[in-house]
Amino acid sequence: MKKKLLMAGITLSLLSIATYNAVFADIPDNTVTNATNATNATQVPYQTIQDKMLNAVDNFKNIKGSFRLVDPVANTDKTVEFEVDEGIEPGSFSKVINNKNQHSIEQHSDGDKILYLNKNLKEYQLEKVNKDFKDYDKALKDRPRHYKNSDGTNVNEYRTDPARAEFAKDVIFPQEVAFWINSQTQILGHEKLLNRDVTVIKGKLDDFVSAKLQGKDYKMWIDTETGILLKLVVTNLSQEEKYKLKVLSLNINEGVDRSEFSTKAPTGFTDRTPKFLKEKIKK
Amino acid sequence: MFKYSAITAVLTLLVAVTLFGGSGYKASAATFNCDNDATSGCSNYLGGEQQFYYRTDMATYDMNHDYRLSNNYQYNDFYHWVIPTNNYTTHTYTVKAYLWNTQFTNPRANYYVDDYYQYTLNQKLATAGWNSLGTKNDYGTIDISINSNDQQWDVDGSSATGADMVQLYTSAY
Repeated sequence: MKKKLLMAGITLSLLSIATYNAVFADIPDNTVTNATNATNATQVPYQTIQDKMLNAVDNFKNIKGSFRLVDPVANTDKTVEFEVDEGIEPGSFSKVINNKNQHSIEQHSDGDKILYLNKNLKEYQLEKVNKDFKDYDKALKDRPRHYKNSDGTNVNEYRTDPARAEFAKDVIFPQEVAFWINSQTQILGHEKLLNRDVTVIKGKLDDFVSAKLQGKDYKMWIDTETGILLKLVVTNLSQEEKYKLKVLSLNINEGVDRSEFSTKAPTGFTDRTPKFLKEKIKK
Repeated sequence: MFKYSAITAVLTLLVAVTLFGGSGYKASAATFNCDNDATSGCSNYLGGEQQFYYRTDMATYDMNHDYRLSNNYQYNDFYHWVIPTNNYTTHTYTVKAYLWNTQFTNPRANYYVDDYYQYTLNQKLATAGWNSLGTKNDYGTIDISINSNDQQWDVDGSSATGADMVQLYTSAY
């Protein structure tokens, strides 16, 4: 009897440790202020659309399209074309074109490697991707994505795009701008854009982002179903456009050309991959 | 006999909770902060092109009022933070990058962990503070690097890439 009770005590002790471990392992080491949830029911729409944007890659299987980005502060005018598959075998092709000189860079990803191609210079760079993100990203679905740590500094938790379509990320996975949205953001209503129902919102930039963009106000047109960003305009106090992104074409779940995801470098191109990144490719 | 055994079991439970369930348990989590040009702990280094120049500005919110900035469009360069975790079994580390400087404007700042591509952060659109860039299963000394993606990999070189503090965090250490 004595042994049984002792064993029961030890078992209970171990169970308590395991339970404590499981609970605290899921909580960040920071003091959490759940900014995205700490609002009243009348503000649910902004949270809903922000949540869609922060998890946009879950809301479509494949996507094909193009967008134009004009940033006068950075003297940039680009068009980006993309084909992305977020399904069982993620992969992507994206191409960014400088509208001023028509130079372009391509990015191809098969979910395991990324190939950058500069066809003007006939150069390429090949990189191996880290694939240890899945458990973390799964946990993020049930956790606040924005909070303040113990010293009051903002923390934003980003998810990884399994297809690694980084040239297209500002549209298909617009997490950076999703973190602009807060309780002061106004939901203006719904419109039609590219035959999609879009939620239109507007708000004021915080001082930090405002200084970088040299603008004060933003307006976003967000695909209501998926959270994809279809249009973004940032204006200054004189209503001048200081940053503008607009999707030009869009096909969702209508299939993509997976042959474009190949990361095999073309013959005749010079390998510009830094030596330390090459070591991982060999493995 | 029964009473003695029950008390022993309860005491065992209490001792276990005190030892492992109280504030002492939190020591099993670990946070490694590594600033640019850290004075202790890390051994950072510049990439081959040496274009991440050291800057200071007492008026900014940069960690320790300093940072590294690459804005020379002739180069495709890296900056490396090297963090000794002193742990040689594999742990899952959350990778975070701190940004609070309006000169950091690279729309495609690529981060790598131990030479694997980790994340592309749009520094121009990101808000101030810590940016959590996913996890990496790793051990030992861990190298986090950032790529400026200048000239040949971007179609125009109109932005600057910033490097300040990075952080590794594991809940089980």
